[in-house]
Amino acid sequence: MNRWLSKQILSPRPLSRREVLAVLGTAAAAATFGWRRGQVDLRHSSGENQQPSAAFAAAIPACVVRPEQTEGPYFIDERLNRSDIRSDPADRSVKPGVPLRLAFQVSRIDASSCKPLSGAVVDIWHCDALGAYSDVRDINAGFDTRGKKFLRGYQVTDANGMAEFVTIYPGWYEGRAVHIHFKIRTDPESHNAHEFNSQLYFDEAVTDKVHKQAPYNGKGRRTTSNEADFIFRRGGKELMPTLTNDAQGYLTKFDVGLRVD
Amino acid sequence: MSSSTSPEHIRRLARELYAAWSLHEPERLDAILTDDSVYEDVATGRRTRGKNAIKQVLRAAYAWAPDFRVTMQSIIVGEDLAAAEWVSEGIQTGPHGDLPASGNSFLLRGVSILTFRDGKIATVTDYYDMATFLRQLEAPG
Repeated sequence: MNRWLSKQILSPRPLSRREVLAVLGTAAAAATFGWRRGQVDLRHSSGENQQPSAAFAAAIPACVVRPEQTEGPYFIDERLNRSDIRSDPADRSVKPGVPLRLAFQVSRIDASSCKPLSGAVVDIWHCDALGAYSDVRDINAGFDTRGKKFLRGYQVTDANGMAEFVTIYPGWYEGRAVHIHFKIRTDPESHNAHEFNSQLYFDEAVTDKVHKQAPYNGKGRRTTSNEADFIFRRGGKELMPTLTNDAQGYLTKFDVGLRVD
Repeated sequence: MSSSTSPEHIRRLARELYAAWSLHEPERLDAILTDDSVYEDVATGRRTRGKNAIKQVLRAAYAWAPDFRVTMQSIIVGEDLAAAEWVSEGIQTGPHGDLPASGNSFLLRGVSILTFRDGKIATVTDYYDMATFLRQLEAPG
């Protein structure tokens, strides 16, 4: 069922050394456990060090298991199959903001191997530059966007496990750090399929830079930093893609390894 | 007797109540609850009386779900009365009542009936579907 991965990570049974490496999947693991390349080579490179190429070509999955986080109250299964999620399909208006090209590379990790996972459905959804989600009425936050579907969509991973989106850098709203939700389903039609929910976060300095620009600056400075967000605190540091800046905006690839023993 | 609480003030109090929950700042309740306020969780039958005891209810929630958060989605305001619709969410990383730590996430919709006295919240009565909650926390991994 849905929450399989967080249960794996948080299960009271001690993790094996291999599982620990898969879960941590960072330089910290190497330092702690004396990991050397070739010894337990589940990972080929770390997402943190990777420089995305112009297109996300010839990528090898990094096989990093990420922390699961809550889905939150704003997921709607709109079934919008599209790579560029900036527009509202109803009136074709495009949400303004700094462009963000976001690629996921999803891999499947089992007892002995890590391979790209093709055919997985990756959904992303997030708020606009001023903090509003589409298709939601939120009296508390003061918006009613019912019927709109901007900044939502899904892509199916290709043979390399890749799913690519074009969106905008998210704005902020009260009580949360700046974030993008994502959900990966191996089969949305099946109750037995794996479902993985989590969120992406951003370096504060990059957010400062982006949010100084219009239209973000119409709202003023965000009130919740990453560290002040209780959802971020649960694993958010492992959910921060490294952004590359180019003339068109920001570009990043984020690796997500799913354990499917 | 004091006059009834204005609709604007009621909305402010409700927003502050859920902000206190979501920002993990139970002490914010000091300013918005009456000293003898009562919190009732209808699904479990638990009634908690008094501001300080209610603050403990929040702290207890953070112990089993450190990322606990509540989002108010709508509110209907009446005479010293309001109904607030909310969604709570989190991941159960600690034991909760009889339930061992599951690592499961929950997303629970519910309604609070709020009553007001002297410009503060006098009672909070929560209604939600316990079956949904248990199904989420007890789901196999």
